[in-house]
Amino acid sequence: DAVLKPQKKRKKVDEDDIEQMQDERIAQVRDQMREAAMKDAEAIKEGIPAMHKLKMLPEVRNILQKHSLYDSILDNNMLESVRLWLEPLPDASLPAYSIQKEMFAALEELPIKTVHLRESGIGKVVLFYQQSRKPQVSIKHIAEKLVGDWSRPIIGRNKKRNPMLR
Amino acid sequence: PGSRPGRVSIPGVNEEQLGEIFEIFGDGEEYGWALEAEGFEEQDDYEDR
Repeated sequence: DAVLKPQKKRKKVDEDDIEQMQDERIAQVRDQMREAAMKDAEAIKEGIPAMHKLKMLPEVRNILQKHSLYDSILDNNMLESVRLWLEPLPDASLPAYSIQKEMFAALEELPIKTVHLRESGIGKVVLFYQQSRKPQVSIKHIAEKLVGDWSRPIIGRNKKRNPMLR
Repeated sequence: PGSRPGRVSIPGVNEEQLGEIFEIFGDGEEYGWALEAEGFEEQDDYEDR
């Protein structure tokens, strides 16, 4: 027992360490994403190609596809940077299709709750994609589905309380 | 205040829920400028034809 106990404790510490390292990594990527979005907006204003988000996309895709990082992604508000990546650029153009595709694919997979929507503002840009005529049909369909999925828990509460509205 | 989100009504949705919906999806102000620009672009396309 005396031999085993310290090992158990060490394991717990290791898990906490890994979690903390994950959080730090996600926070770092979140900030880099924010910076890339700002630099792209500046580039467009100066009339030069916006490449910062595209350069970072493989790294971001890699993170967003890892199920094991979902909690850390949501807890560290990486969704706010996803919103910044999806925002229309200063010339009212949309980000590259590859960016839209990867970001919307992640939004479909992540277990997003109302609290995450509140703190990230992601719902605002998704609603914009639903309303805009510029996105491809496949993206607009995902946007429409997400708006429905995210509204339902709020509107559904009323129906649960009042069976007459079912 | 005419633009207050609470003024909008949807059957079966109370004011509190509407407030939450507006909090999450906004009132269209955030990206309204981009949607407006789309309208101008389409007008330009039409005039070019």
